[in-house]
Amino acid sequence: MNSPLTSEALFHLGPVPITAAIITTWVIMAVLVAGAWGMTRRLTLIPDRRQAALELLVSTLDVQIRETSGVEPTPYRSFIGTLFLFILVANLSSLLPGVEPPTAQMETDAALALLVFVSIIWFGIRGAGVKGYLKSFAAPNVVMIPLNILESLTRTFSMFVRLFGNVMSGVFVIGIVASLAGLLVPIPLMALDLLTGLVQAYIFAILALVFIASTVEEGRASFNSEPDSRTSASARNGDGDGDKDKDSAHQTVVPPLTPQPLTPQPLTSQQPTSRTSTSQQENS
Amino acid sequence: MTIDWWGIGLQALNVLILIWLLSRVLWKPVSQAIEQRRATAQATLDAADDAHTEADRRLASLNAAHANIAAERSALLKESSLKAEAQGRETLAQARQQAEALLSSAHDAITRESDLIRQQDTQHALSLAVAIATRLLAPLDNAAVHAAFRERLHHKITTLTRHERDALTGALQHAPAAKQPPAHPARGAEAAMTREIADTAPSGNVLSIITAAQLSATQQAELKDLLTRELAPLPSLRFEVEPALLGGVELRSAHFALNNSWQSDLSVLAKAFEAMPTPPSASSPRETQHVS
Repeated sequence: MNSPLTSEALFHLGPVPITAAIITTWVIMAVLVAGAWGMTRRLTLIPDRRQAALELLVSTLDVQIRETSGVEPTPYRSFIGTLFLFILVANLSSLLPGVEPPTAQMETDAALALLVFVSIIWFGIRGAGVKGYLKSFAAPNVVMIPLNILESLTRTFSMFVRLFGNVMSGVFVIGIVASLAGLLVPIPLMALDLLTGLVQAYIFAILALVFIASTVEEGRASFNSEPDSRTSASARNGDGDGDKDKDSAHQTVVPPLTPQPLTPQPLTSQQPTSRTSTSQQENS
Repeated sequence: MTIDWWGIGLQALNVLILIWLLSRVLWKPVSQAIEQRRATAQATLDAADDAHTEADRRLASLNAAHANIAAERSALLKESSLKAEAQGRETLAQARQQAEALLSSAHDAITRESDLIRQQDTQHALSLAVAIATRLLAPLDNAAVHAAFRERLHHKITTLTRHERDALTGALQHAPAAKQPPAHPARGAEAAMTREIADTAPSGNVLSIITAAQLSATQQAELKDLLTRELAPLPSLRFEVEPALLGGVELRSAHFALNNSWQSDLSVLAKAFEAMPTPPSASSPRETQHVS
C-alpha cells in the first residue's frame, strides 16, 4: 500500500501529473453533474418523489445556512452545497472496491481548503467591501492584525488537516483491518467510515459557511463602526451599547451568527461573534 | 512527503468547475422550482385573500342591501300601516257620515212622517172640530146668529176698499186680481178673507147672498136694506142656501166673495193651525243625538 502522504501520477497531461485522485474526482464530478442534470429535468409545480428529494436537499441546506449563520442562503448555496456533496460522495467512494477517495489525498483537501480560504476573502470583500474586509483584521485594534491574519491561515489549514486526517485514517484503518482479518470483519468499520465521511462533509461545509459569514459580518461591523478602538472592543465583547445610539443611523442590521454546527439553536442577541469563538468551534 | 502543486491547482479547478456546473444544473433549477412553487402558493394565497376580501366586501354590501331592504320594508310597512290607519279613519268617517246621513234622513223621514201624521191628525182634529162645532152650532138660535152675522157683515162691508166694493157690486168688470191694490194694512186677518172665485162665481152681474139656512122674508129684507144702504148701486140680488156654511151670511159676485160664516172662520182657523210651527217632539232622535 502506497503512503497516503504521496501521490503517484498515472499519466501526464503536459506538465500536469494526473493521479488516481484526480481521475476519481472527474468521475465523481461526472456522476454528480449527470445525476443532477438527469434529476432536474422536467421539474414541475407538483413534485414527484425525485423532485421532492431534491427540494428536500435544497431546503435542508438553506435551513442549515440560515440557522447556522443567520444570513440569506442564496449567495452561499452553490458553494457550500457543492462542497458538502463533493466531500460526501468522495468520502463514500471509499466503499467501492479499488477506489481510493480523493479526500484521502492531501492535494484534494488542500485544494478544498484553498477554495474556502479564497471564498472567505471573496465573500468578505463582496459583503463588506475591500475597506471593510481589511478593517476587520484590525479588530478589536491594530495590534491584532498579525494574529487575525494568522488565524485566517490556521483555521483554513486546520480544515485541511482535519478532513485529510479523518478520511485518510479511516481508509488506512480499514485497509489494515482488511489485510489482517477476514472478509466480513471490516464491515462495521466501513459503516463507521460512512458516518465519519458524512460528519466530515457536514463539518467542512458548516465551518466554511461559518468562516465566510463571520468574515462578512465582521467586515460590515468594522466598516460601520467608529475608529475608536474602545467602542469597537466593547461592541465586539457584546456589552457595549455606546455606539448603538450614536451610530444607529449608520448601522447595517446584520443578524448575529450562531455557529453551532451540530445542534442549531435559535438566534439570540448575545451571541459571540469574535474570531475566538470560531476558533473554539473549529477545535471541536 | 511531497506536495503536488499541480494536483492542488487541478483539484481546485475541478471543484470550481463542479461548483459552477452544479449551480447550473442542480441548485438554481431546484431553488427556482421551490421559489416558483412558493410564488404560486403565495399568489394562490393572495388570490384567496382577495377572494376572501371580495367575499367580505360582497357580504358587507349584501348586509347593507339587506339592511336597506329591511329598512325599506319597515318604512313600507309603516307607510302601509299609516295609510291603512288613515284609510280606516277615512272609511270610519265615511261610515259615520253615511250613518249620520242615514240617521238624519231617517230623522227627516220620521219628522216628515210625524209632520204628515200631525197634519193628518190636525186635519182630522179640524174635521172633528168642525163636525163638533157644526153639531154644537146647529141647535143655536138661528135668528140671533143671523143677527150677529148680519152685524159682522155690515162691519166687513164698511172696511172694504173702493176696489173691493166695485169688484163685489160688479162695477169692476173683469178686473185682474193681480192689479188689485194691496189691502189696508190695518185690516189684518180680515183682508185674507177676501178672495176671487172666478170658477164658482155666478155668471152675470149678480150678487149672491148665501146663508146656511133659508132666511125669512124679514131677514132677507133686512139684508137687502143693509146692502142697499152700504153698496148702492147694487146689482141684482139672489139668495142661496148652503148648509156647509154652518151659519153666517156671505156675499159672492162674479169676481169677489166676502166670507162671513162659521165655515170660513173654521177654514181660517184651520189654516192658522196648519201654518203654526209644529212643536218638536220630546223624544226626537235628533235631540237625543245632541244630548248624547
